Amino acid sequence: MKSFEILANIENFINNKEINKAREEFVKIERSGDKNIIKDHNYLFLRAKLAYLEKLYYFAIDTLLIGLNFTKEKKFYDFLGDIYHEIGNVELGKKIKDPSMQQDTVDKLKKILSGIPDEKDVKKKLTKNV
Amino acid sequence: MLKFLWNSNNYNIGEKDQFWGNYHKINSSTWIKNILKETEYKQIENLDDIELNDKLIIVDSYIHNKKNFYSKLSSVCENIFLFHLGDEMFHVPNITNEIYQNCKFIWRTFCNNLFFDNSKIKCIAVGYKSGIENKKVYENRKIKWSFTGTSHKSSRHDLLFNLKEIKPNFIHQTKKFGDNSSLDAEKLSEVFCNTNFIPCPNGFFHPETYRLYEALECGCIPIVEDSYKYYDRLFPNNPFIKIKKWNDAKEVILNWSEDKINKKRDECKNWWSDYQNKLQNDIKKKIEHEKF
Repeated sequence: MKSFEILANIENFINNKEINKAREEFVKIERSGDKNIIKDHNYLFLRAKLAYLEKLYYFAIDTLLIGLNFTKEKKFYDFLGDIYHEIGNVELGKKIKDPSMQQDTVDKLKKILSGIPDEKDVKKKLTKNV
Repeated sequence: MLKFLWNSNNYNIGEKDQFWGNYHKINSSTWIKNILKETEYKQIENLDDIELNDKLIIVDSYIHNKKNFYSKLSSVCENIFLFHLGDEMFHVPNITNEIYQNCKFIWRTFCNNLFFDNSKIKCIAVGYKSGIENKKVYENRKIKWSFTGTSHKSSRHDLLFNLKEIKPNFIHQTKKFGDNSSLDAEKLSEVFCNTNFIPCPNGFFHPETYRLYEALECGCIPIVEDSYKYYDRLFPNNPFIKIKKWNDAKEVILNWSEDKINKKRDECKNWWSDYQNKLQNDIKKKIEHEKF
């Protein structure tokens, strides 16, 4: 089964809150050896969704920030903003959801968080793995 | 005879291995000596000091890069008890498992799903950094909470956002892991021994960090992230305060009465003391009574 088909399954499981089944599908992707998956924003979005379902808020935030290296899709900013709202940083959540401020806000946040890889770091990791 | 070899810094494969080998030797030697307190052994410096029928306790890290060494070791010693440090990500499982096969028993830090219930491998606390045990005890602790470390991911950033207004606090942020501005163990000990709560965010790769055990050693109340119920699986019935988001820690740090804090502190102190005693005795029993 190809990665995109597995991702479709995962999305269904997450929508039905079937956490264990979603986890099992992620394991299948990891075992498939598809190294490029770590820069697939759809994969990263679903990882963040599953983490959020499991109340692993910070894992979800870190994953969305990595995903924003590869996409500027509205759903990423909206989800990130909602999580910050839920964990009590309402101001940051609002800025991230505001289209006029979101890019600048996320850039500043990533500068503070030294452990969130940027696009170059991810590419470097992929080259190293080849 | 039971012999003891600290090998993490003995075997030079490359710069990175050497850095971590020395790091573990410097930071974990007091902890390892502590948990071997009940066990009598003779310290040796290299494999030449091993004789036929000896049992060997070996403390090591980066073992996946030392396949040849372990192959040679297993030819001179059949009774190997390994303390495997620092393998946060379970590096290279096939080689690590091969080396594990040649050991009678393994104690390893940084647990993962494969090792929670394993008859040959026991996960142990990462422990505190050497030097932290030289503590000064304050009757009334003046600092409500303390944080030292790097704000590398969102958890630590959110921790500081949510808690920074709760004062008195002690915050010492560093730019990167192990940089020159990091507090030494003596200073850290002084601060922690005057602090009530220590938030212990997850490490870079793994939930566990030295901080939790430094907090316990200094009589503080640790507040840990409850990721995948890691601590409840590693230490069933532990007394740590567990949170899903740092906002939940606010209420505890701000509103707990002196009495409630003291009760929780005693609970943590007793648990930590019992854990260490049990571990010391279990290790002794395992090494002395393992049948070959």
